[in-house]
Amino acid sequence: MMQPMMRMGLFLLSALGLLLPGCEREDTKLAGKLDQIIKQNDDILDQLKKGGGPGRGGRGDRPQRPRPSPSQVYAVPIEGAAWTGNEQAKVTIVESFEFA
Amino acid sequence: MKDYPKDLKVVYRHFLIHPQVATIPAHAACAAQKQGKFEQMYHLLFEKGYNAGRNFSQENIDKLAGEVGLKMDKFKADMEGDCPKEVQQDMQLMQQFGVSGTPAFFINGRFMSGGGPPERFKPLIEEELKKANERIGQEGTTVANYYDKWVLEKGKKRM
Repeated sequence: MMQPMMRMGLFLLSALGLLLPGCEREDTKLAGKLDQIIKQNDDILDQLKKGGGPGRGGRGDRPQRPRPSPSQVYAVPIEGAAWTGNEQAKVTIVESFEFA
Repeated sequence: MKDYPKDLKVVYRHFLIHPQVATIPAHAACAAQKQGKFEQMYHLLFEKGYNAGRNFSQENIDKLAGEVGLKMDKFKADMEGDCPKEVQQDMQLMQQFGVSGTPAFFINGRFMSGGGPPERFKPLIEEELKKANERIGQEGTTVANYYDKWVLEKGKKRM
């Protein structure tokens, strides 16, 4: 009576022994996948912090419009335009504006 | 402006980034300017147009023009006549100098973008005021010709 039981026990133990290394392999694979996901997540967060990313449809794709230099003097005409303040002033501000 | 009652002049140039909202009031301000009432109309358009839910309907515009005391026939004729072209010319002019958004400023020809509290403008105004005070009285420079001599003559003609 005991012998078939023992045989069955031994069989189960051997099967478990065969499965365990398989589980370890699965764990290693999962850990690798998890590392990969974490890295991708970090990359996405980095791109978001930078305001998008080249080639991903973010702001990095748009060429920056050249802007006037604040140290340069530009000869912006004022004739014919509406104005307020003192007609003969030492400082003239030209304001580009809209009602929006 | 209040801090510099004698030393500041603000010149206005139209620049439409939101034409669907801003075109009619721009034409209205231009038409009011032709009757010497730009400043009054400018304030009313912001106070009772923009701040009233962006109400720039023709009905409201006409009402504001009436409040300012404009001659309505001329106002309407200018709004539909010369003003659309003049607003476009303002935009083209400012684009030559690299303006691409509103508000944008040139303080004695020096660029500053965006709005903000008056304090933001003070350093540049002070700097330009100091320069003007040093130059006025030299090389035939007067307050009256300062902008012509030091900005229009010496400044870059486009960006």
